[in-house]
Amino acid sequence: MASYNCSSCGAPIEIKNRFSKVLVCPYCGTHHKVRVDGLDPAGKHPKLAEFPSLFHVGCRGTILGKPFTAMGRLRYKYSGGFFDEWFIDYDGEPGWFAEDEGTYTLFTELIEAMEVPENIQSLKAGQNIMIGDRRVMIKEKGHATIEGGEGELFHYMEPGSPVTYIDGIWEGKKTSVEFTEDELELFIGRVLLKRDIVVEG
Amino acid sequence: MSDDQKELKAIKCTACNGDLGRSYRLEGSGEDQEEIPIAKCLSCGKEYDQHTQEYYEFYADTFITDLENTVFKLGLKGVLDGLEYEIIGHIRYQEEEEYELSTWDEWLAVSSDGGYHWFVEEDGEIYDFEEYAPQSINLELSPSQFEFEGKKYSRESTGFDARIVFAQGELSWEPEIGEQMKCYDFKAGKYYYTIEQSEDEVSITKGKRLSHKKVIMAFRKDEYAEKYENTVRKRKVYKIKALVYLVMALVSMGFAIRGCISGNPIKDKIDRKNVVVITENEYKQDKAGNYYLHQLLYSPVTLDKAGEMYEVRVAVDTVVQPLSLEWQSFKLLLIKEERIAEFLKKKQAAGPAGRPDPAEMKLMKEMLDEVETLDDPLESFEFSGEFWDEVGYDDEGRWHESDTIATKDFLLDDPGRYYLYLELYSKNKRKTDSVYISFEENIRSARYFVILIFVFIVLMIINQVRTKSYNELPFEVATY
Repeated sequence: MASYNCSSCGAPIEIKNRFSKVLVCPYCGTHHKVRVDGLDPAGKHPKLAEFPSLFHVGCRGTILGKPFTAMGRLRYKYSGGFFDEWFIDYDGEPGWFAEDEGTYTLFTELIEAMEVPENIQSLKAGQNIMIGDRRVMIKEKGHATIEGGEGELFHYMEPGSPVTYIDGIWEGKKTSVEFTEDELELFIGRVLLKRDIVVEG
Repeated sequence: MSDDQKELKAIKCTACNGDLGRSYRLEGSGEDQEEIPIAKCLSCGKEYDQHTQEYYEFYADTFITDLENTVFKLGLKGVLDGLEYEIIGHIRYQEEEEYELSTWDEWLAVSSDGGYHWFVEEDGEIYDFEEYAPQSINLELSPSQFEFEGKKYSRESTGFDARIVFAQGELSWEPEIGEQMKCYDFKAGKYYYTIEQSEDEVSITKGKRLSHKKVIMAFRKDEYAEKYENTVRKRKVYKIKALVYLVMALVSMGFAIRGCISGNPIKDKIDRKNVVVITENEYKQDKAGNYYLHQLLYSPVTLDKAGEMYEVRVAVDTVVQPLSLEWQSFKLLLIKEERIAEFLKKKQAAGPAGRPDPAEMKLMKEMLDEVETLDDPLESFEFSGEFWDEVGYDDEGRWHESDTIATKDFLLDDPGRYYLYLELYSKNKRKTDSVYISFEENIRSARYFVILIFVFIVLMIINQVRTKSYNELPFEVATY
């Protein structure tokens, strides 16, 4: 755990998870990129509006019987509303918990730095995409913008940035594809029911 | 854009912004010609059929006339298999290929364990679907097939296009009236699967059929439990009735078959060679046209079982002389032996009845020629019929049909010995022995049993239909 002071408001802030790459000041909303030698302010943004959610930053509990701590979240805005992607400490490992209009998905496996397929921008739902040696069927493709974040985050994305999201299916698992011009990341997970999640406080 | 503006836009022509009106288009030809409803621009005449979004917007009201007759309602709550459910959203789809009403309803329900379910109502059946992630799926396998869980499915037999025609409540996306979706419905094992594919999303759900009893007890017990039980009870009664009528039809069929195969030849042989030929191939011309006439008198036969059913058969013996592209008709009279004798006595004061001599035959010919004008009927039984052999051509090519046998049942009132008097009329000259007569006794008539079979089958079908259609509930119940 490392303690700092917010570069904008001076409030005491601390990093609790070794995988965090971004820290959002809970008092003023300033985003800080986490560097080896300290925090690098990346801009001040409005705090996220409170929408009903299972989690809040710092809450603990179990998912499928394993302990978790909610570290922070990124909120995406799309035509159907908002969805939150929580970065969690899942039994000591990084995990991502997506909450979209009452449906829950836990991603525990991340495959990074994969080559971006040439046709990725023109893909449509129902088409197959080869990610490494995995043939993923595109279940949903859409566009969203980053609404903002809070707490500790795994990625840094500037609020207002456009994002193309691709959800897929591979071998009975849900997948989420995130990509830039250069590389692609594949998150692999599973759908959860509310009963699979226990929030203790 | 407000909802009102959207509605206003929806009923305008996309080409000229003119108003749309109801119209129809004729498709097919001849007996298959049908009037297909369409929306048509009243200004430029542009047509919008069921393959356009405008059609569904224009006819939106017609797809929801039976909206009250659904099992589920928005806000309905119930407990199914220990889980609480609440219906929060509703979408109605219409099959695009059908221009008549062919809809189904999908109800989005949230359960107490946080899961989302789709309760589907279709053709009186109810299914419970939830999202499913298959181990393997390939929707790009080929233009005619897709792969799901290692098995190939035909797109043609499982796929169809659907349009959203109504939506209400909370849904996970914002549906539009007329929005198109490609659907694949199929069953694997005991589960039903649905793949709904639009340009942006593929939704895969796995479901199972729910019994109406389970659904009613879970969601609408207070309102409909009693009516449901009554419906089930009545349907069972109809099922039993249908079964009883089936058994009765089968029993009648048994009697009818017995009737068809019953009967024994009578003791007396009818000798075709030993026949009195009164007239042979006598050429005639009258109002009926030109024909050749035979008048034959066969030796008497004994028909001695009063009140019994007999069958008489008159047939062409095609071995003796085939009937080829010609016709022949006949009239057979059964005349009591003593009636002929009596007549001959009157005319000639002759001896005992028996084979007539030439003088008697002359008298008899006169008598038989005039038989229809006699005040006192001479014949005890009369049977007429026709034999024919024809060829022709129709849509399926050449046909050849013939009918060379005629039979008739009769109830014998007066037992005794009977002469058989046969008149034959033919287009061409025919051999005297080319037609034969035979009798069978102990006949059981099949006719009445055939009528009974028909009646019982009709009653069975009516009751069988009611086993599925009888319903005291406001919504359709396909099975129980």
